[in-house]
Amino acid sequence: METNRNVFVIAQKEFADNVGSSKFIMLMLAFTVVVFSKSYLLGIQAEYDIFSRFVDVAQIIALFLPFIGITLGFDAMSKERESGSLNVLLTHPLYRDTIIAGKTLGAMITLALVVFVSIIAVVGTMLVTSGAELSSLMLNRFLIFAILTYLYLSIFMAIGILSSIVTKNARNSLIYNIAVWLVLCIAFGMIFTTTASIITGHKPLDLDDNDHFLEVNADIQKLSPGHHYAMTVSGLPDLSWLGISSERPNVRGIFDTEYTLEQWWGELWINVLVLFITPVFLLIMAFLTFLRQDITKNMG
Amino acid sequence: MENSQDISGGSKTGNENILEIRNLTKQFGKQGEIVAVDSLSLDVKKGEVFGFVGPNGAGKTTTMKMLIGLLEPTGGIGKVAGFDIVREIINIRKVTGVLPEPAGFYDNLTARQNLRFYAKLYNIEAGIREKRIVELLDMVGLNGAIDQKIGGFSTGMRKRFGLAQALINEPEILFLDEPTSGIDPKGAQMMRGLIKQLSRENDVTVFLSSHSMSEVEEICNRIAVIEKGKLLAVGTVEELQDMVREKEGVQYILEISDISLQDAVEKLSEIDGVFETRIRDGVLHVHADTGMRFEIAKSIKLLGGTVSRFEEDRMDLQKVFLKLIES
Repeated sequence: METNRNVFVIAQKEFADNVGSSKFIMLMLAFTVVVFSKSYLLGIQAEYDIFSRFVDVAQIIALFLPFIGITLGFDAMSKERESGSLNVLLTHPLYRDTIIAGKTLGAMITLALVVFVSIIAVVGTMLVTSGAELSSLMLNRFLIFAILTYLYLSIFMAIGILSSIVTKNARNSLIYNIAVWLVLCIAFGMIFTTTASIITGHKPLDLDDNDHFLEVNADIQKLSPGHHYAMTVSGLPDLSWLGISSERPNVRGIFDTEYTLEQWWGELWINVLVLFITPVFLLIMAFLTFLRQDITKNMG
Repeated sequence: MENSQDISGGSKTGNENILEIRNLTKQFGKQGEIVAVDSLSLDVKKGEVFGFVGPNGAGKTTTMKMLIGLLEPTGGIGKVAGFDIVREIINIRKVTGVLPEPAGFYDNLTARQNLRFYAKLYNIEAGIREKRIVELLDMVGLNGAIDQKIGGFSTGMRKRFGLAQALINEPEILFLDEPTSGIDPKGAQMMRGLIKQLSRENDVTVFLSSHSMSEVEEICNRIAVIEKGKLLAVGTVEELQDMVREKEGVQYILEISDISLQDAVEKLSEIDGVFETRIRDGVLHVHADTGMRFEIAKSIKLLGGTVSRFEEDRMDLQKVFLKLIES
């Protein structure tokens, strides 16, 4: 009971630190401006069907919003270790798992706020500029879209937290996280196409007899969180640069109103499951690593 | 169970011990080849200021970490305020305050906000919490900086804030690791004054680790000297001085007249129990066994000399410490 209460005490502080930090505010501001501009352009061109081109917004989210997830996690523990505040925190009546749980919860709450603000900004701008109305059917789909986005971004937040535990300092952690973001979000399409081409010996743009190449290509693609997010929200196998894929689900993502939500789930549930399991797995790894680490060696 | 009996056995002497350790050991390395703390046994009485001194790497911080539950001992047992140092860590932390070295705080928060956060970890009711924050910051002389961010504090202010932080839960026992390191003499004096005040007025037991012998001598009731993880000696400053005197002998300073100093040196050198006699700045320095005072005075008188000054050169703690380490 007392442990649970202290998880919330730490989470509350972490949340306040996050939303008050200049780096977070700057990133959030920059992202909101980009999303607002894109939504505005889509809204004025959409002519009452604002969701048909929602994939463009989803692409911006898939490519750039993970950086906010990283920002929330990359220095969660390393910052405390470097400043010596972990030394002091550990002398108060807290178990180590309370500390990591509180920090994770604080970051998760901040992330929920980020997703909420982003979605409101996108939908609000598009609705106002297009003059379209939001039906309850679409509201449900937006809610699911928000949850999917949250799960996707949680993966990067969890990578950030894990990295903040295993790296020496916040600077190293940030560098590793930027590398992970570049590989998984920006350049993964190019990387997996190249990898598949090397493995199969097939040129990517050669359309003859390319079944094996496309098969390998599709398998490698599954390693990226971006693939599972892209499939569930847009029905596209990849939203990063220069990706090629043969995988085409019938349901074109969560906003494909020709299909019911049951049909969407029936075809894409595995991708949803991966989006759910991956952050949980990464957070468990982060917890176990932190619990096993000698965090007192900088003390005295 | 057996372990608990051992420790409570120690308490039956009538002294109210707030900290008791028996054969506390900490080994590092795959095969335990590095022995940081080696069968350490200690008692600290309630209300005393206990100094824990030793050279770098002696095992002071490792011992302290074990006492506050940050490291699990490899062997031995220990109790702090009646709680087992392995099984009852959280209970120990509820009744202890710690100022570790190095100590970091949340630089982006003010002194008040920092203390509020720590107070919340003890579920201190809001009204009491806010009052205590003001009282503590006032006590450590930071009332003028209560709403200033910690990031702008000087080293001395941070140390004093650290002390306020350690007192937020009104601890029974305070662990201070190098509380005056890195601060100027005035700040160090203020810190020492605060520690004495806490012990005197608030009945807080203080377990203090320090490199500064003058500091330990000034504020501690009893002192333990540790080296290579082993306890070399424990007692009051006088008891430690006596221990060294017993082992190493005493330095007497004599001012004499009516005879030549050289004659006196030659005469004193013949006495059993006098190790060395030297002339320095016109006075005699005699290194002898304890209890030789009468013999020395008698020999000078037999030579026809007059002793106008005969005093023992009392060793300060710094010298005692060095002698203990050397021996």
